[in-house]
Amino acid sequence: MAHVLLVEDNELNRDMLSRRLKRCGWVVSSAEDGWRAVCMAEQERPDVILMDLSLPVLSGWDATRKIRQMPEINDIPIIALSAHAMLDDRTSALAAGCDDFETKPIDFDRLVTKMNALRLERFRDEH
Amino acid sequence: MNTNRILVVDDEEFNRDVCVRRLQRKGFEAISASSGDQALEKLQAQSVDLILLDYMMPGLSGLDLLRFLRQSWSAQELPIIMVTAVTDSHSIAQALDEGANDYITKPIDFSVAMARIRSQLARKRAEAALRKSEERYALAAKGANDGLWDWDLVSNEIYYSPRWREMIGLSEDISHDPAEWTSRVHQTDVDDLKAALLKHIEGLDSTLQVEYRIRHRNGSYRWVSTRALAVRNDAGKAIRMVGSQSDVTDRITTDPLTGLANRLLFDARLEESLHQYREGSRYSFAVLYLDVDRFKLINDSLGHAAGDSLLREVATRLRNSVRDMEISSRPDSDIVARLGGDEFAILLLGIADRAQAENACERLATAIRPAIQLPDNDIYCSVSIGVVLASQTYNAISEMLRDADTAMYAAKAVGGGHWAVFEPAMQNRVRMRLQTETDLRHALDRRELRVFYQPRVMLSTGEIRGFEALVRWNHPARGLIMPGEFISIAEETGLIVEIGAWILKEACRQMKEWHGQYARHPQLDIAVNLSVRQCREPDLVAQIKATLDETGLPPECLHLELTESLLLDDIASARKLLQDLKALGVGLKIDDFGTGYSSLRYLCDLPFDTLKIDRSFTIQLGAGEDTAEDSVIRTIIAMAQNMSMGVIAEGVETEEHVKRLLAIGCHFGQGFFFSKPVSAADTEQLLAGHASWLPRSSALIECR
Repeated sequence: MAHVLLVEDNELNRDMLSRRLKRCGWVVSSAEDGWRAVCMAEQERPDVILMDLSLPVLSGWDATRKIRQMPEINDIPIIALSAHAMLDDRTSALAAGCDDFETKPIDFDRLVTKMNALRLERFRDEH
Repeated sequence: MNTNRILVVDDEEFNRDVCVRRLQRKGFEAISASSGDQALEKLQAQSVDLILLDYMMPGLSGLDLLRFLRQSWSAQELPIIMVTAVTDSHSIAQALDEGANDYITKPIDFSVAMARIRSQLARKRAEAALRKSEERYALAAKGANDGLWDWDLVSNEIYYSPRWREMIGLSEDISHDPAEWTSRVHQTDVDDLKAALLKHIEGLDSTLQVEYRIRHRNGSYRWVSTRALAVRNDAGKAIRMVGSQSDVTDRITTDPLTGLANRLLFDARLEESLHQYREGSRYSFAVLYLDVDRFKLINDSLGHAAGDSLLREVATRLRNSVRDMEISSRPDSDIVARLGGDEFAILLLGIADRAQAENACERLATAIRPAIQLPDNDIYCSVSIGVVLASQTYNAISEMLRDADTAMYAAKAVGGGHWAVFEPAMQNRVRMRLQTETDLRHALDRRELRVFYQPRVMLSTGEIRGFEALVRWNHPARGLIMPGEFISIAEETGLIVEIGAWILKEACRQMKEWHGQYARHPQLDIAVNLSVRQCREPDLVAQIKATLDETGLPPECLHLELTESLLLDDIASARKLLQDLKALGVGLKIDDFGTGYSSLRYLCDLPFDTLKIDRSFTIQLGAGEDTAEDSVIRTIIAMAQNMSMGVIAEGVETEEHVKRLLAIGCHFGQGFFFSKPVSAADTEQLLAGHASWLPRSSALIECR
């Protein structure tokens, strides 16, 4: 089963998204700040990470950079989630090491499509 | 700083227009939207720093829009100020409940509105700055192999990441107890770590970075660096702390120049070895302190790059030499370290006695002996080695290191390239020296120093022409101490600068006084010695000038005596100094001539006016017939005359000396034959009594 780490500090958004993901068969763990996200990524090695950008402790950008520095987990796909629809957020998220970017409010179907595409890509890279 | 962009949302065109214009006049970038939907569109298109939101709007109401926006933006990220009717306290409460940052009432009092806008923007900036703060950046930016931890301060449980555990060799899970961490920290460092954590938790230190040793499962210690960040609740109380730990053993224990261990690692290993030895382990060991002889001279004359290459080569040779010794059963535990400068230290396990230690020293010295090839020169150098053997009497490594140091100084005292194994008698000598040093520091304040004067005499007439000022120390317990016993200490400690300045001033003052009392023609002069250390003082020339001005002594009556060692250091700056001194009008004498290494070539270049022949030549002057010494002195005199320099012979002790000197053309002398150095009072006796040492034999008169 595919495992996703959802990093989101807003409890409402976290619950809502996590419920929907579980309904389509994902195993969901969640973290509410950037630091916990890095710790959990290292511990649990999820298949995909959904990363909100404005997070406490470490921002989504910083958490992504950190994950990208850690050899065991630096290949986990990360999709940035942000309400900031501005172009420079998209650019800076990709620069920090995110693989893709989704704007809130989330288009759920498009998000899941992207998640699966990234999983597949990684699977191909590994085999 | 960028202009803040404010979005004004109001359905009434007039209100919008007024608001936008006034904000623009205040220097903001203001944009507007006439409805909730239009506001969302604008927000998608560009970033906005603050929203002024009208509560009462048709369609999507202000409150609805507020709710919607708060799903995506927190109050810190996007401040929203609600604009409400003055009477509607219910709406105000509701808006604040839903996450509005503040409110203003209609009709808008613009100065109030500006104050609230500015305060919200200031808060937003402060928070943005905090988010980007150094600690966060540091936490995020740390290296690839960081171990992470996450400490819940409320439940007092710590999550340790897999890498954190691996770093200290733990593969299995460990508990969440903070003691899993602190109990493994080296006992010397653990208090510092705890204090740093506590300070950060209490907010006394905004950052936390601490380095300490942590015990690996295999028993060894690793040096690690930890950075952390406290997470606080609204009341500012730390409820959680997160951090990373990285292994910095290599960086912190290696000397970057030579790649050898540094002092830190050396001390740690020595500590370990001494501890095991005291516990009764089978390893006896020795500590060797090494110092490259004359390194400073090499470094100064060939440059730092050459000095560094030399140190690297010495390091390599020491390392290879130790590796090839194969004395200890654990050769990996031998350690060669560079302690700084040209100081090295070696910890040799398995050295049990003096003979083995000396054998090791011999091998090290042999390894250093062959020429070291530098890009421009081949250099021969040697090391002085001090050795101390482990013994149950040592309680701490500081005691061993102190004794190794003592032994090294004893070795150095013999001359370069020697070694010495510590013995307690050395300690007494060092203690004596230290006592002298301490006393000397007080000698000036307590007025224990005296200037003594030794006359310089015209050999043909026996007249006193001047004096050399010589320092004596009237020690309260030890009596009168000769300069030989304390000047080198004064040089090493730098006290010579102060002492030298005092002698100069006292001698000038005294001579000026004597000029008043005893008129002579030409006037008496006074010679004062300048040490190499004094010559390095940048304000020496100014200081001498000030002394002359202050005492009123004519410059030509002051003669400065410098030794050849001044020239060894740096010929260019020596020449500059001599020229500056000459420009003051004072006389310049070269002291102890013939004992140093300086070639005559140097002398021709330099503005010395007088040369003092060293005592060692004078006292060997033969009785009547020409000896080798006679011809040396004759050569010196001829050379001096060629360069229009005067000559003074030191160490004139017998009438025979006087005769011989006159016979070979030396006209001035000083020495015990005339007078030993005497106090100012006794000098006055000499002057008052018109003391002269007229030649007594006819032979002498003939020589005139």
